[in-house]
Amino acid sequence: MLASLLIQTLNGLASASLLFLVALGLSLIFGVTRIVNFAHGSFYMLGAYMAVSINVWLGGGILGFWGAVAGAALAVAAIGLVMELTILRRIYRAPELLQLVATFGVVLLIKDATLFIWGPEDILGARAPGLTGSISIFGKRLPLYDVFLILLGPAMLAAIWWLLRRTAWGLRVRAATEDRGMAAALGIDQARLFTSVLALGAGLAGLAGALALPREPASLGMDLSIIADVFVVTVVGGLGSIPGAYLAAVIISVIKAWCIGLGTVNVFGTVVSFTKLTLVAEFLVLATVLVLRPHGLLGSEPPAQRGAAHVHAPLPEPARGFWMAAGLGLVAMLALPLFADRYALVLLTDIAVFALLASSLAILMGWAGMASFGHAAYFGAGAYGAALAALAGAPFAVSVASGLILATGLAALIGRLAVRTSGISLAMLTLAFAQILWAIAFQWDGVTGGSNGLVGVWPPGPLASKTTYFLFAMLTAAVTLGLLWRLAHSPFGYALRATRDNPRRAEASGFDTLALRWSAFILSGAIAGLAGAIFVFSKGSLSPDVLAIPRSVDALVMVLLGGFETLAGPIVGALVFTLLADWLTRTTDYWQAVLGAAIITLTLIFPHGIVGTFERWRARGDRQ
Amino acid sequence: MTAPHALAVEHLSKSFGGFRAVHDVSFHVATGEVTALIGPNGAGKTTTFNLVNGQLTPDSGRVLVAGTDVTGRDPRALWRGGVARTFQITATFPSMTVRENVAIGVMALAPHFWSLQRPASLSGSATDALLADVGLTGMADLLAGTLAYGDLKRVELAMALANAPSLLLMDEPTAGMAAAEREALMTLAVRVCKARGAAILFTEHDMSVVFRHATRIFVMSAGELVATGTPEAIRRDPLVREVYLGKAAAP
Amino acid sequence: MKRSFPGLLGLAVAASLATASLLPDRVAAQEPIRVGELNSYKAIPAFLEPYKKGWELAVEEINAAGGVVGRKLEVVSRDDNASPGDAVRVAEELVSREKVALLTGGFLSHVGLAVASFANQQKVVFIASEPLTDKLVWESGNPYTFRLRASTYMQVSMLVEEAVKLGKKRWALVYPNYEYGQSAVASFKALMQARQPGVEFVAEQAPPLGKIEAGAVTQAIADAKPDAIFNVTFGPDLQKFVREGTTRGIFNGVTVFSLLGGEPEYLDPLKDEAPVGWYVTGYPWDQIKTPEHDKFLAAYRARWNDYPRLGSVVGYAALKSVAAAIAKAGSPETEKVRAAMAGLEVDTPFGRVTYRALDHQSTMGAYVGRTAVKDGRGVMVDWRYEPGEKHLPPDDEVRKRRPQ
Repeated sequence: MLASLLIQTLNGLASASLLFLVALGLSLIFGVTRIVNFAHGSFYMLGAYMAVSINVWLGGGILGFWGAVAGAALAVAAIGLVMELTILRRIYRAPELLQLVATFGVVLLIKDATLFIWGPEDILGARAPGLTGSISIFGKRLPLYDVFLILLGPAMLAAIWWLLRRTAWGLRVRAATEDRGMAAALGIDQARLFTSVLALGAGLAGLAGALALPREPASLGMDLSIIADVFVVTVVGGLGSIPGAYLAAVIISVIKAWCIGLGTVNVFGTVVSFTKLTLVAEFLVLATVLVLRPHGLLGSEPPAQRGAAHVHAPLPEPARGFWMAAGLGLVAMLALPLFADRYALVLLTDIAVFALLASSLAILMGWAGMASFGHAAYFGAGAYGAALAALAGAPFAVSVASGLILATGLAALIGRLAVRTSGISLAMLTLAFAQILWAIAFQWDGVTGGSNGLVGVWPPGPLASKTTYFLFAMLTAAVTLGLLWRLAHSPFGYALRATRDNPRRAEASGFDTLALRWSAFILSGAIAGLAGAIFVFSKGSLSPDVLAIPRSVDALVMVLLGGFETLAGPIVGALVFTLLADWLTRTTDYWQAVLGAAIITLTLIFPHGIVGTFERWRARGDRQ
Repeated sequence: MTAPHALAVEHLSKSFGGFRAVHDVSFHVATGEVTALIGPNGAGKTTTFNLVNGQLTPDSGRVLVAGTDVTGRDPRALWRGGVARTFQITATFPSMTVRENVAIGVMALAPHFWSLQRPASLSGSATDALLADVGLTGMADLLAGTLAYGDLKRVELAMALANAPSLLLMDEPTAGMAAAEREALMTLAVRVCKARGAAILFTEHDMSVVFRHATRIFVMSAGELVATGTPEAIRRDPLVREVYLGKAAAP
Repeated sequence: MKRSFPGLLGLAVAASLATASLLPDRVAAQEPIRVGELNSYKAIPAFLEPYKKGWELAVEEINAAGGVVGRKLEVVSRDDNASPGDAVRVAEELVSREKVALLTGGFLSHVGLAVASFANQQKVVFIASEPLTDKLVWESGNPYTFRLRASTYMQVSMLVEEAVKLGKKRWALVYPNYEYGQSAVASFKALMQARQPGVEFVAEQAPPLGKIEAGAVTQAIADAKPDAIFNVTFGPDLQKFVREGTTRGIFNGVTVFSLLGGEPEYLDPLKDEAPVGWYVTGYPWDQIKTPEHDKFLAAYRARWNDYPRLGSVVGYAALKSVAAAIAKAGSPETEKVRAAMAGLEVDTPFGRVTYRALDHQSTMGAYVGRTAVKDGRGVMVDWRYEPGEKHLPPDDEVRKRRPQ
């Protein structure tokens, strides 16, 4: 038993080293540039594929293997460099999270490029020559390569520590991490520093991908399967803390290994499968750590960014003509069934749903200044609440209300814990809760239908036709959005933006900032839940993917693409993103790459979102 | 019985991990009085200030505002009790217009969060009066984020006065301003507060501002209050001279 | 500050896209019969690229032979983005805009179930090619949905047939933690307990799909000291499992059964590291010597200059099923096709299969055999074809599980 525990701990440590290597690059990049690099998993995947090819090219053997490791790291570093020079450099002045959208475009681009170059089949890479065997510990065998990895983690930690503490470059990195404005004042060439950090970070991910090959085949799922874990490790450890990242990687990996080692255990008559816990172990750790220590295990309060901080865009009151235009638009929409075909109505129903979802997220991000990476939680809760009620025989209105109530309740619960944090910690905490909900929906077969989900959730008679359901969805969305737009310039809307602009001032002017942020969270969750409830009846079925990360990412992309600090932005974002994806999937086999390129292009042209950028152009025109 | 003081501080003490930042400090600010809290760097004036404005909780001692014990209350409770403040680094809402900034301060008195109407204070007479008092009527529709620093200070002053305070706390009000602007700002602040019956307690590095505008001055050194008095008395006080001249950082 | 007019300019950007997407871009041609096909091409390329080649070949053959009921067949294929919500929308587009006669495709079970529910509501025939979940034709079965591939239950049953012969007592189970893995293991347990009383399940590992911690999992299995292992993992998980387990020697003296393990999609990437002696279901494409398979193999190689994977067979057979159904119905009309599907016989590379009227499941079987390494790659040996009809539960039981 003890021997097993020891071996499982060693297994965990070996996995932790690889996780740490990937997280290391992400942490460096975030620390210096504040970029949430969604493409980091793609760099990892590319490292693996590159290593496969380089190894073949070098003819295998010792030279081939280690040459491939070095070559892959360098090649991926070059790709990171190119990404910085061609894309990120142009949008440093945009709101921080817009860069996340751009890197999301890069994810899609790299994925399709990899498929194009290396083909669809998984590629099992070569093993490390000389490290293919195993050693015996208490009669159990541990691969030599795992021993190598266990030692590699601390060695890399020491190397990076030395780099940051003992070199001039490291000093600059630390200065930029701790105080951007100060670094600029000290005359550090920010552009060159960012480029070098991006290259190093990407190179580390590529290195990890190459080193993962003896344990894991190069496959097209590598990017997304690691990216969430790496974010978790970075945040649990404390952003910018390199030892923290290692500690977090060890904790998460070892906990997983122990869960696997425990297997299925009978606890007081109940059978508990610890192996199934590995589905969300990292997110349980994340939620626990962030609730207890909002800045992570070894992190400290992020320094106030001087000068570099994002200045929120004004949200002027809409002109009278705006309401007229909106009303005319709605009338035009409602008249659409007279001449559009059924598919157009179905597509617009989706767009109405996503416009609601994106607008709900914009309440948090735009008005309250709180980014949520897990907004699918409330959307999904609305969908499940409505579906479960409907399947239990509740009338349509009651079902929709049930979804709304479930989502609102969850938002109240999660929001209570989340609003005490801010920035990236808050975003990751919302992600953690969303993933925990996802795991519950995924596992609770008896209620949620498990991974298959629930089917046969169609709207009743009068709403069963695509036309009437479109009218219902469009009207509900319009009324909700209309109220929301009124709310933006109501006392609540003003107070919320006041707490975002300057919480200390708002507090000193008598506002309860926590309560305001919490209210925003609940309101946002309720609207997302409404969107989810409408969604499920338009699709007739649902599965845990309504709660999953891609859904949250889609919502983020829509909001940021449209302009998160404008009223119409989320709607335009939902419209553009949905139509673009729909059109491209029908037009080309490599739609992911084209969609990725389109997203990148849009972020470059509209760094403040489509509507936000137009607003800025117009404001500039007015001044001249 | 006389009317209670705008502010009374009684035997205030605060330590940070063994370091005695403030020790047994007592003073009061009379209704409508303009007072300054000064001392060299590290004397404990910022800590004292933060104990009074609710950002810190004292280890012992009391803070009374208009006779009410507010020790340990948060900034919001203090605001309700008639205490307003400005910040060393001007705190306004940069994405909003000057009018909106001031109106939000006024709105907080009766927020009506359930309403979908625009805040009444946006076009209310209270907001107009505050804007006029600080001379910002002409700039009311400019974005706060685009104003010059001196103008921003006036916006913040108007916001602070929105709850008709009996006491205004100003933390380094003229920090970062040119000499001429400093004078103008403090003159304005004193005039407006006097008209509205608000007492002032401010901390300040610029001694000429302190001596010109404060009617009474509290001097701190090494965590203790070492002198209290009118500007003339303080100027003549040998202890104060020692505190300041003994330090290299004397102004 | 001037009041603003947010969004109107932004909306203009969307307008061009809107005209492209919202208005029907072509009028459905009268001549060919259109078939809607949807699948998760970007999410599961390893299986679905060969699958696509399979159905493309089938369509070409059908049309070269004059089409069906005198009309050519035209497939309109879409990516469903591996999402049930998107799949339902895509299905709607295929039905209402592309005017397809019926739908086919599907790989992921939850997507397949969503499309099946849509088909039932919209009264469109859906021939699910690949989704393996038992629910598709049983618990969630509906009048408009049919399935080609041997289901999870059927494939498990084929392996159980072999397993009971060996009489191993202590079994370890490892399966991806989602419905496919869970129901495979549930069926395995139930069938084993029924056929071999006293069987014990000593370890159960359910790693998340695509994220197996192979070292820890293989170690935990070894610690349980099983006589045999029943494995349901596939794809990259399987490759990791094999490599770690081999390095740690956990397969020494242990019999391994692996569902789908002999499919070229999952066996080929292992090359010379393919496990030896595992009992698997799969597709020994290079050894099958039946006239129907020879013909398919030759045609496939000639067309694509590549060997077929299992996906190729599934895609090919799916479109052959579509053609056969329309031919039997004499028209692409939904209700006629639906009626024709009941008891429809189709010739596939695996021989003739029947879509059962009882539960709309086809009797397509699978090959069961053992793995070996030959010329540096994994192959199946000692294999035989297990017909699907042999591995379906008694009719009464099926009726109980399927809503009538």
